Amino acid sequence: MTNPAVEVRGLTKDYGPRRVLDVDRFTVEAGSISAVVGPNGSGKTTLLGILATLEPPTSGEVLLWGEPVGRSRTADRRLRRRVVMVHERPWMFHTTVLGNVEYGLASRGVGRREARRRAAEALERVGLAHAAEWFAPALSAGEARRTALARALAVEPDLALLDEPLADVDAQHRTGVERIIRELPARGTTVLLTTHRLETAYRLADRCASLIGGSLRNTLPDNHFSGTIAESDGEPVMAIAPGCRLHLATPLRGPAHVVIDPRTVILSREPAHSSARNCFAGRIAALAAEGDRVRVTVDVGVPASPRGVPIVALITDRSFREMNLQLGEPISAVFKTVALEVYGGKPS
Amino acid sequence: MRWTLEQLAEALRLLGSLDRQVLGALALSLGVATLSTVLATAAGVPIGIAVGLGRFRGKRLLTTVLHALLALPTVLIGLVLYTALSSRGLLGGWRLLYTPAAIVVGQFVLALPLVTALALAAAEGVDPRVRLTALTLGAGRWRVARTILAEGRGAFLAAVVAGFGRVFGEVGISMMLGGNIRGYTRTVTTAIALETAKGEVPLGIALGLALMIVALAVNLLFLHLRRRATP
Amino acid sequence: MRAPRAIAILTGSLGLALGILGCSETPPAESPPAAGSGARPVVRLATTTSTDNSGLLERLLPPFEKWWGAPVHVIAVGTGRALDLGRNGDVDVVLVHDPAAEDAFMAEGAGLNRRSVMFNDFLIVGPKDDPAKIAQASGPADAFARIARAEAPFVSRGDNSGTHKKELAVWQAANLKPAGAWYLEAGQGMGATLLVADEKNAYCLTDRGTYLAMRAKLHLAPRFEDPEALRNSYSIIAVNPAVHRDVNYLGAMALVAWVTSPEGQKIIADFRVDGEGLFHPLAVPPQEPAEAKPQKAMR
Repeated sequence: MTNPAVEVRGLTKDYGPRRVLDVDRFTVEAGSISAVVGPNGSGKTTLLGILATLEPPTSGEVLLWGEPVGRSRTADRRLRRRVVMVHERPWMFHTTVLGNVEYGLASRGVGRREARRRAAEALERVGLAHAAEWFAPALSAGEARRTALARALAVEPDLALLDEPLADVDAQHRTGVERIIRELPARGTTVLLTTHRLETAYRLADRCASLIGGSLRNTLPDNHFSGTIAESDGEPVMAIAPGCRLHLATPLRGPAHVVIDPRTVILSREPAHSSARNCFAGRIAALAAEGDRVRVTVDVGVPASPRGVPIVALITDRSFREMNLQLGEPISAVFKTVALEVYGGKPS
Repeated sequence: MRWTLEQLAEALRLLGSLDRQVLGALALSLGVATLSTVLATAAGVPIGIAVGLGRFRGKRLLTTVLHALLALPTVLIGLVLYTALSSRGLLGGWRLLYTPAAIVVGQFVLALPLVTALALAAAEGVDPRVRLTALTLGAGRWRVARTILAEGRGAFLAAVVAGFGRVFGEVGISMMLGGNIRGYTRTVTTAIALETAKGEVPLGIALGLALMIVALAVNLLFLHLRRRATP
Repeated sequence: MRAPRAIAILTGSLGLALGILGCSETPPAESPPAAGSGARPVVRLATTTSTDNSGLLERLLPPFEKWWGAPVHVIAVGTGRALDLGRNGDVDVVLVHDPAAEDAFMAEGAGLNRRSVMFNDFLIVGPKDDPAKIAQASGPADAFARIARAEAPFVSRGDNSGTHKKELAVWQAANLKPAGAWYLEAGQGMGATLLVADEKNAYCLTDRGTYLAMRAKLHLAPRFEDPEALRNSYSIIAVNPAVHRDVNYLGAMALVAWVTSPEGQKIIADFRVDGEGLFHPLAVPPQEPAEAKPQKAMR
């Protein structure tokens, strides 16, 4: 990671006895769009709140542009000025839409006229210029969402934390909002958004992480295997099916979970002689288009066995067409030991 | 029954005659109540917001103490302040005793816990997203407080109204610290106390009715303000 | 948002309140004195509720305020408290009617220049049918004894006022300690106590002034009178400026002078409540014929 805007280490958040967030490592590259995918109640909002310096973590370290959060009040205030969080159900202040959008600017010492101009421009971008004088609390959910987005845009933050930015936004405005989000890095804003829909993450983000039950994994929950890491010939392996073993590169042993990022899985017609130690022959069981990618599910395992193990690979549309992959076609899934992420397990 | 009606009739007649002393007492009651409410609001609302939004050890204890102070009898406040304001007392040099200013001080002490406690509840009652939204948009502490005030304006106004109502009709403090001096510190309530003790029932009732009419007018004003504040 | 409007309302009400307060601070008297003399400070007088309720001060004080050129603020409380106010220096002069307490006050050095002002009397009011038959009593002690014997309801001030202490002295003279369901202590001023007694159809020891003022509202009537034995003497005392440096001693002494002057005493003598004279002036005894008797010293 060359230039992280956000770095999280060992972060936990407890509400009383309940641990709602447990993030070992998480980073967001400056100038990128990252997404955290997870079902509702998984702790996404809490994570964003902590990153926005609105809430303190129970333990752990948060670094924004290399600076630790929680060191001092003044430092935090300075950092907070560079970050804006847009809540899932944003609060509309008891004033006009324009008044709402202007709110953040007054606190930054922006003059009245300039503030009005920037606010109007932001409203224009979200398609609510006509609503400037409306009473904000009376807006519909989608309009409020876009107003909140405009409110954040007007401030021109270095980091935008968007909680479910597309929820409630009606279809006709969705592409507009997505375009705005995609344009943000070019304007100098790093984006971290949360969503419960994989497609949204795929469409918008450069990097995705998943957050389930408070645990963050830097990959999406495809290719998730659980088993026991044993030693075989001095090397760690995990059996995921009879005759099918994953080769790992880890000092951990014992019961563990292993996740393979589908984007690291290579598909090959020939069982490749390569440096990759994981090579599994199988058949293409499913194909799904996702934007400009294709999700290929390969049934891997002993051909004679009735039940195979699915390994998901995510390849570009272009590769898919060039290889001319067909459903049911024999194919091999290839990936390196270091592509496997291991959770749980104990050092040997 | 007949006697009661006679007294009421006499009271209404007296009310209609608009005695100059009665008007003076009304003006004084209104003046001291307004001033003490304004002061209690100026002090109590910021404190209430600060404590309401705060998260610190002993917050619950502080809130409990605050609520306990609401039960302070006016005569007790009057007595304690008398010892402070008396010539021999701590603040004797200020020569406040038996002046309208002393009543203002006493009523301020009376209204302060009430306004503070209600402002605290109002601040706590404001949606937590307000504070978070204000903070993330870069608001400093004062701006957050002003935003909380604006978003919860109905409840805060209610706090002020409650404070005013409490002091407008009180008699213990006015009596002990004002001295019920004719034409100087005789409020409507102390006048009622006096006339009642003298057995002048119709006059007492008339004064009471005058007090309630003014209270009603003030509250209509508050209602109007409230309507304008929350469209 | 709404800040400017709120501030406007705030300052507006502040101004209104101050204006009203300013207006109400004009003294009840007419405006002060001739040019060049400078405004005189307020004279604070503590007196008893019964004295205030009689209405005498409304006759006696305005001419003084006009002559002296300063308003008199009258604070009417119980005798004990009035003397306390004097002790604390919260008032400049006291007008009370409790000789024993006054003696203690003077002995403490809390007051100077005590002068007798006037006297009237106490009387016992009671129900029209006089169940305890005190109308035939030989004296106040006997009257109380009869009430106790009959266990007729009796309402006491119960507040350590001059009246209350007089009442207790009479009980003592009768060798009785009043107790029981028939003996009620109102703990309030004379007027309120009379109302309680009236409500309960009970006997009550009251000063004549308050009785006359409340007469129209009471069903009770005087049942026993003894102007000699039940004398009620009023004195005026200035607060000692040595104890409290910033009391208005001159104003107090001016009031003492007025009240004990022939003019003041005349007002007292002429004061009528409900057609009856109420107070007998004490301060300026009538001049004795010079030939026969030696000069009597002024009281």
